[in-house]
Amino acid sequence: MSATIRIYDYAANVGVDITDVDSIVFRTTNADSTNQDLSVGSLIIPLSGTAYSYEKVLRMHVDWSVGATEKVSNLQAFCLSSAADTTGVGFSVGTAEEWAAPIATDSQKATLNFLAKDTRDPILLTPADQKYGLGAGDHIQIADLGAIGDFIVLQMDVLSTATVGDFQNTYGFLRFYIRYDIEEN
Amino acid sequence: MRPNRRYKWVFTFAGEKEGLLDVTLEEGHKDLKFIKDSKLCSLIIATLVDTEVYDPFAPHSEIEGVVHSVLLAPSTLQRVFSRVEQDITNGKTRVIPAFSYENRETNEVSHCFAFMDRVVTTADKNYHREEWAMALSK
Repeated sequence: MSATIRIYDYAANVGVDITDVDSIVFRTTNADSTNQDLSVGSLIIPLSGTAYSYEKVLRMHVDWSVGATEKVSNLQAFCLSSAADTTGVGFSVGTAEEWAAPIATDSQKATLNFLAKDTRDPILLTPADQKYGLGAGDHIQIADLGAIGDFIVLQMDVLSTATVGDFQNTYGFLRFYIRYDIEEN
Repeated sequence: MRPNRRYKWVFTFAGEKEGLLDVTLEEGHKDLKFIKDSKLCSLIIATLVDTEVYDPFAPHSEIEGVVHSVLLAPSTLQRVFSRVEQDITNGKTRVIPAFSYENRETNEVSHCFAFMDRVVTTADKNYHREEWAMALSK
């Protein structure tokens, strides 16, 4: 009688459940970054210009239990970070209605500053006035697949002025949240 | 998974006309939709209870297991929900009992979010409180 939102990585056109991974890893050599090994495909600080990671394409899935009687609505994503100065490093975010293969050049989908998409200005993944559930009713029935809302597209870029190291230990913590509401039918 | 089912809202509605009795209903009750949509009664108290202690058959004056009790100006209950926040980067999830209501005199809509140590009533529907340790849910 319940629903859970799970996070899927869409490096390919079939999502892989990454709900339980420790972190989201950006890579330059392989679009599939569900591997948590940080030594594989790290971003290299360029001598000039900008180095881009592969786009990270995520989508939420609703995991319904048998007989679920709840509705999910207001699906959002936002970021919290303690990094005051991120000179040389950028995180971009955007949404897409359709899946496309991740690219490792300047993304045309991830165009917003992810660090600015905080709790007061979240990324809206579903229309605020629509509710999703199973069966008939005043809500929108979702497909058996369970995918819900737009794709989230993330990309990391590095300039020559970046500081060597992983982001968290160099600049400050960065947390990525999914937020949604659940209510009874 | 809906991990915060230990906590539940109980709403008290006051009759708008003489002779109408107060009504107290818990979240999920089959009559809650009818009562909240009725023009004849207003929401005046929202009580968050611990269902491990709460007795639904006790009279309102004897509600046990009260975590928070919120007195409201006469209002219309709009929505009862749980706000779920999942931190993808560390796997933590918290569930915040919440409801939305409209003040019948001013027509202002507010959102009430319950945490372990306080209740926050705000017009900001995206209200977020950072401290994980203070969340009610596990």
